[in-house]
Amino acid sequence: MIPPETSNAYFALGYFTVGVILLGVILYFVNRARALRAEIRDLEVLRDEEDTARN
Amino acid sequence: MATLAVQPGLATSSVPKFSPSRTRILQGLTVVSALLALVTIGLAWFYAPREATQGNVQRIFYMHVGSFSAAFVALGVTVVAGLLYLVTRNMRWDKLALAGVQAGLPLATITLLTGAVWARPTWNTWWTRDPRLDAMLVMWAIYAAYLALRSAIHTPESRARFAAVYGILAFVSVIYVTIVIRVRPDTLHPVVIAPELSNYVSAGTLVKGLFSISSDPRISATLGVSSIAWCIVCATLIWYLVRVETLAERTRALKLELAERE
Repeated sequence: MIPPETSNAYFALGYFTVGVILLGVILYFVNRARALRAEIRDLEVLRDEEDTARN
Repeated sequence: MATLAVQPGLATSSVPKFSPSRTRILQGLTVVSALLALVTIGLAWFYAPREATQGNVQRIFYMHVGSFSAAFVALGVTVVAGLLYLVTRNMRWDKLALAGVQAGLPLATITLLTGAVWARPTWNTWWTRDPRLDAMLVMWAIYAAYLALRSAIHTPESRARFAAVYGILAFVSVIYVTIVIRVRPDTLHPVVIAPELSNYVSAGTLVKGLFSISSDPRISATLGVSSIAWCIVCATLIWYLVRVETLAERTRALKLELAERE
C-alpha cells in the first residue's frame, strides 16, 4: 500500500513530466519553424540583391 | 563542400506556401488534439477509478500506455514511409519517415520517464534491470541514433536510403518491446492489457500491482480514449514536423543556390 501523500506526489510529478516534454517539443519546433522562415526571407533578400547588382 | 538536399522545383520558389485547405484541416486537427488531450486528462483524473493499493499514482498509466501507443504508430509511419521511399525514391517519403522518428522519440521518452515515476513509489526504485525496461531503453537509443546518424550523412539520396533501411530494421525493437512482457516470464512489468487479471500478490508481497483493464469498464474506456487521443496528437505533430522539414529543405536549396553563384 502506497501512502496517499506519496502516491499523489508522484502522480503530480508524472503529469508534470508529460506536460514539460510535450510543451518542450512543441516550443522547439515552433521556434525552429520561425527561425527557418526568417532565414529563408534573409537568403531571398540576399539573392535578390545579387540579382540586382548583376543586372 | 557537402552536398545539400534540393528538391526539384524548390530552388526558384519563395518561402513554401502550404495549401490553404490543408492548413485549415491541420488547424482543425490541432484543435481536436487539444480538446482530446483535455478530455483524456479529465477521464484519467476524475472518471477512472482510483486503484486501491497504488492510489492516484496509478493514473500515470493512462499517459504511459497512451504515449507508447502513439510512439508505436509514429515509428510505424517511419516504416511505411521508408518502404515507400525505397519503392518510389520520392524525397517526400523521407521527410515523413524523419517526422515519424522526430515525433516517436519524444513520445518514447514520455513512456520511459512516466514509467520511472510510477516505479519509484511502486517498486521502490526509479529503474531496475528488467527485460521490458532494458528493451525500451535500447529501443529509445536506437531511434536517438537514427537522428544522429542521419545528420552525419550529407548526400541526400544516401541519407534517405540509409534512413529508410534503418527505420525499417529499427522497428524490430518496437515489436520486441511490445511483446516482451508476454514472452519473458522474468519481467516485473505488469501485463495490464490482458483478457484476465494477470497481476498478482505472492506471499503477501505486491508483485506486479493489482490492476488490469478487465477489472473495471471505466479503465478500458479511459485507456481507449487516451490511446486514440495520443495517436491523434501524434498525427498532428507529424504533420507539423513534415512542414518544418519542408522549410529546412527550402533553406538548404537557397543556400546551395547562393553558394553555386560564388
